[in-house]
Amino acid sequence: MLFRNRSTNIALYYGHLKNSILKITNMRHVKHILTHPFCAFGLSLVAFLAIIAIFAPFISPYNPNEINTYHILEPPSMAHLFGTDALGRDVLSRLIYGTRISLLVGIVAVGIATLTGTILGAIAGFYGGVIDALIMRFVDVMLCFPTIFLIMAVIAFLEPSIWNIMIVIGLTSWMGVCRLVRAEFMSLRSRDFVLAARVYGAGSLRIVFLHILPNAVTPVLVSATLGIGSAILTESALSFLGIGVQPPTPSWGNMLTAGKDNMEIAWWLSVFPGLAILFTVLAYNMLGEGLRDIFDPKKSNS
Amino acid sequence: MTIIEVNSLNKTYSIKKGFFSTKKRLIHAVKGVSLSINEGEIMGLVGESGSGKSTLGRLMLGLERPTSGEIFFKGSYIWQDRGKRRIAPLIRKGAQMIFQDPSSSLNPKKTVFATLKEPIMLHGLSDKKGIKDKVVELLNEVGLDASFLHRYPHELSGGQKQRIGIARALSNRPSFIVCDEPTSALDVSIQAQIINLILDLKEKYNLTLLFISHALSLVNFISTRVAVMFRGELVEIMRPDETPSHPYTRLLMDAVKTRVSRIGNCMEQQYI
Repeated sequence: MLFRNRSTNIALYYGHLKNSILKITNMRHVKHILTHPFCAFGLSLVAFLAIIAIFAPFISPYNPNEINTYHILEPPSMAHLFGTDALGRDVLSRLIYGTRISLLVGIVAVGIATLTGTILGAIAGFYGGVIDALIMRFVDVMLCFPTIFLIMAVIAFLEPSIWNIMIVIGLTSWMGVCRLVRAEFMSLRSRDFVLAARVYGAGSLRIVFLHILPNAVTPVLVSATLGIGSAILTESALSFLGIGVQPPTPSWGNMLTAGKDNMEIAWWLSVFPGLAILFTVLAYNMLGEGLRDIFDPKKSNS
Repeated sequence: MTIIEVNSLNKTYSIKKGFFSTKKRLIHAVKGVSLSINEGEIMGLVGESGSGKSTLGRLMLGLERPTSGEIFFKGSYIWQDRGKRRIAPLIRKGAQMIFQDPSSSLNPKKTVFATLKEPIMLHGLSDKKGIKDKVVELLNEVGLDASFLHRYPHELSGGQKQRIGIARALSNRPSFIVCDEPTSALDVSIQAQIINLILDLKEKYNLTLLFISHALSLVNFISTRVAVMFRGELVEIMRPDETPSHPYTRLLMDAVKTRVSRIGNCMEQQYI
């Protein structure tokens, strides 16, 4: 009897342990993410970029802002793998430091957008009626603005610092998330488990954030991943136009601008930042598409 | 003692006819229903689809606001003010519901433990230390054991899910439970088990039940009184052994009888 008790206890303990690990990582999905070709490619590239961004000071061979007038516009060589620019700065080092800016802008801007969109979408979808109509018309209005010109207009009033850019990009790209979350909430709010929570006295806030939101996280995650790519692209475009990250701080966008003056004699100034933007955006888009494939309940891959 | 009392209750929904039209069509889901349920009673509530059975159940729990009429729970209004915006805490603590579809009534992202923990904690019926024992006690009450604690709903069978739903309905020690067709989404072999479980728990905790169902023979078998609804109106309240006086009830009874005699007695035993 004692023996049996102990074994059940051990079984219970391991069951608990297994479930808590499963809960944290959701192994079922992790396996899919690692085996899905799009996802695996995107994830490894994103991880690679993250490592570069974090360890930039240790990886980059030169100081990105060090001017060396003896070595201007040198083509790629062993000393300068991606060549040097018009001021003799090492392009590779500047690219590596630019990774920091791009990832920071991508993550913070999407963070702001996702937070705004989720909160507004949750309110609209949960309460419905007049509140829903007001928020959705506001979304329609925001969608009417040509985003890049709106950002340009706002940046023209504010000083063009990287934080301002992140906030502005975030506040002009939350509408998609808002619509998504609203749709999820509208279908989830009439489910019986929400009713059950209300029967035993859970308040609206508790129901919205602890009962419905966890069920709406997956589409938000997918859209956030896709959003990072487009935020990085927007930042590059702004920096290219000279209203984004200001020189001498290296960003892929303003490196492109600097490169276009010497396009004919120094191709490496434009090609490498361009490729960096291309692959980063591609990585996030592939990761997002892959996640969408995996989490889509209509596809049977479990 | 009367647990819940409903006085000339009305509930109408309005539906806009067209996008640009200002005319509204009113749908009377519940029309002038008066009903009172005594302590320890099982009140059966039958009627065809769309007759307002579930709406009446939800109104009694304060899940929807009545258009007019009064609802008393243990002698006090469940809507605290005239604007009908605030619900009395008494009914949130003292009444519960068992749902029809067990798979949609459990939150797919919550474990059994999290599902059962919340109502207990909300009503302060246990502290953090004792919560696990409380939940295990609840699980034992519905015939499950502690190994179910950390499972998600998709890891459970339909019958097990419904048992969790019943455990949740018991979690805040209610005195009144609305059972909204608790067996109609279940397999026939499980139905009898779940019914017996509900009846056992009713005896044990001295519960009062409003049992909403399509299955007339089942309702006749378990309830002390049967209320019949037809198009939003309560046409008859009778004891199960009485002969029905309202023509609609007679029609309903006849329909069931012919079906039972056609299929045979074996199905009747399984509460069809």
